[in-house]
Amino acid sequence: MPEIEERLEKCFALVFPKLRSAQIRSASTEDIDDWDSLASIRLAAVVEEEFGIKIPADDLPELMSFRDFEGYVSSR
Amino acid sequence: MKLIEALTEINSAATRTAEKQVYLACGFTPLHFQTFLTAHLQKLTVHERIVLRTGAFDDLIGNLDRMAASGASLGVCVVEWPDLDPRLGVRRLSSWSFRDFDQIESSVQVALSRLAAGLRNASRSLRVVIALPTLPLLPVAYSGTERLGVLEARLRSLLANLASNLAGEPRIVVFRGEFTSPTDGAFDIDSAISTGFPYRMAHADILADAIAPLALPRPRKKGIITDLDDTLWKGLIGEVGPADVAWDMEHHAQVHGLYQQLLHWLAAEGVLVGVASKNAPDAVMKAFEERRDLLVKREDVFPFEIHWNSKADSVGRILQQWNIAADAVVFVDDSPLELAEVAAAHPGIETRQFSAKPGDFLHLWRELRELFAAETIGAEDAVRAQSLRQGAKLLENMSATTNREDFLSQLEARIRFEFSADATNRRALELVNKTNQFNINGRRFDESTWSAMLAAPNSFLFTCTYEDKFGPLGTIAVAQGQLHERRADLRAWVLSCRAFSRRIEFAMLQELIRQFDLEQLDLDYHATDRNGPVREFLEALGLTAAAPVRIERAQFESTCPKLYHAVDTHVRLDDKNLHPQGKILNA
Repeated sequence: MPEIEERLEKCFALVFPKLRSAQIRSASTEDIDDWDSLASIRLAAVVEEEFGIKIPADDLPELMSFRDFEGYVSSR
Repeated sequence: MKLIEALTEINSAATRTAEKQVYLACGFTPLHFQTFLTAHLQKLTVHERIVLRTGAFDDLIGNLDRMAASGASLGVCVVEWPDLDPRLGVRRLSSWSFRDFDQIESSVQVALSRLAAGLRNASRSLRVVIALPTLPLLPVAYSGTERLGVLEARLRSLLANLASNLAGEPRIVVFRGEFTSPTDGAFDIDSAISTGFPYRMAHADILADAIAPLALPRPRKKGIITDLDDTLWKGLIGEVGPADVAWDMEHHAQVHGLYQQLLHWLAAEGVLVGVASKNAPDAVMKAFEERRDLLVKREDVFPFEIHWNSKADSVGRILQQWNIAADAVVFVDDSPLELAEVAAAHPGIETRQFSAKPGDFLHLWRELRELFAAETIGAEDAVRAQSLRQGAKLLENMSATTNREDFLSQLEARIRFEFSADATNRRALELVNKTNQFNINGRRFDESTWSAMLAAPNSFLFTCTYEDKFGPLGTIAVAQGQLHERRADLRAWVLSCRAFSRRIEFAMLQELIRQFDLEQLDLDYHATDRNGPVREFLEALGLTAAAPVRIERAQFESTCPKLYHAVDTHVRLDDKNLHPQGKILNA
């Protein structure tokens, strides 16, 4: 798990470079203005590349926070 | 490049304060293509941060209008089939059939006309790179997928016609890439339907990687220095003699012939071609004089360095004769040792190994074509090598003549000055952007900045064309400035190194002062690593070469040496560029 968290942090930092490290783990669509639908697609693509997984477009609405992504990646 | 690498590249430039504004016009959701294009442009940019803006979804023509008004200095327009007719995409459904082919063709024709008009309009304010459809047409033809259908043939003809019309337009660069991608691997139908982004990740990266250098081209190399034995020809001329070196199929030496052909093309396009060879001079010159089948001609080459001494020293002397820096030159040799020696002695020089293997040679051919890529070839390019030879003769004459004043007075020098505000004078901007030595500040300008400078009130472009008894040098000096009462600011002033030692810089200042009745000239001078000749010129006028530099008329007149040029001046300034006092003096 810690390894997944660290790698996910790296993905979030790439897509949301203005976020501080401490903010990333609690990040969600509700409190990050830049996290719109296009950012979701970009973030999913980065996570796909980092973890070598495929995230179908239909799954994107479930992925609304850092923790959602963490749970999703862990279950793959 | 992977998406993660692209984002890392972009974020690494986030702290740069200077920005390069780029506008991407497309009809699809730009998404990852935007990311890859930003990253590839960023890789080519040393000091600025790329800021790439995009427009509205599904409105390519509207986005071209937005591009024109954006204030960006660079535009990229990427077209895909649905931009030309939505029926050619997967997001719009309607019950059309082959009976509507004529109507689709008509609507594509209208869309292409609007696209051409939008591009021409945008290109008035910025440089635009255009990529026509890179994705395959959907399988709409009744004739199957492998046979070329009637509709596709007609649409491709329309696209080819548009490309042919746009390719010659100033400030429009047409991406040469195939109009269709050869495999289905480029199109991501899932993403096209769900997000409006039609490319697979790899296709987005490849396309962005190919477009970026067209958008931000590297400066063109100016010269190529080549070896001879087993490079320009097959065989060692010192051993087999001039009659038996070969460059044809019969002797299994065709690639050497192709290389000669390429060098001949480059020479005709204004590239300097020099020879550095460890060889017997007599045999080599005999080959150049007697082998009529040699494809690179003796007059294509200047100078020849043929002896048994170090090639690094030969290259040094050629650079001196050409008066250009090593980083503007490519050295080609079949020996890795010689390449390493030259690279170590001349930092910045590009070295390439010649290989007689056809596949390797094709790679070299492509590389050289890229390094010497020019947007246009003008009359100036054709006279460059000739004028360098004349320059060498001039130097010989100068050293033979004891009295410099006698020498200059007998040169029969003729100068044509022209004042205008002509932003379309490509030679002027090209000269400003490639001259390093006599360049008051080393600043480079993109086309839109240059146009804006010349569109400002009271701005002028001052060009100088030179000829003497040794022949023409073409347009060799450019200044750009702005008038304020009886003072002028020069933001750019360059003089080609081919035209040094002729007092042309003094003649230019004299003409500027006379033409506008100036009392003062302010130079936007900044010392660079290479603009020592400007410093020497300022010191000759009794000035200190440190910003700000102001030249007073009285001081210039008291220090200007005697000038012997016959001057012919043409003024093509319209009302908005008039002298602030409302008249052009001495026009």
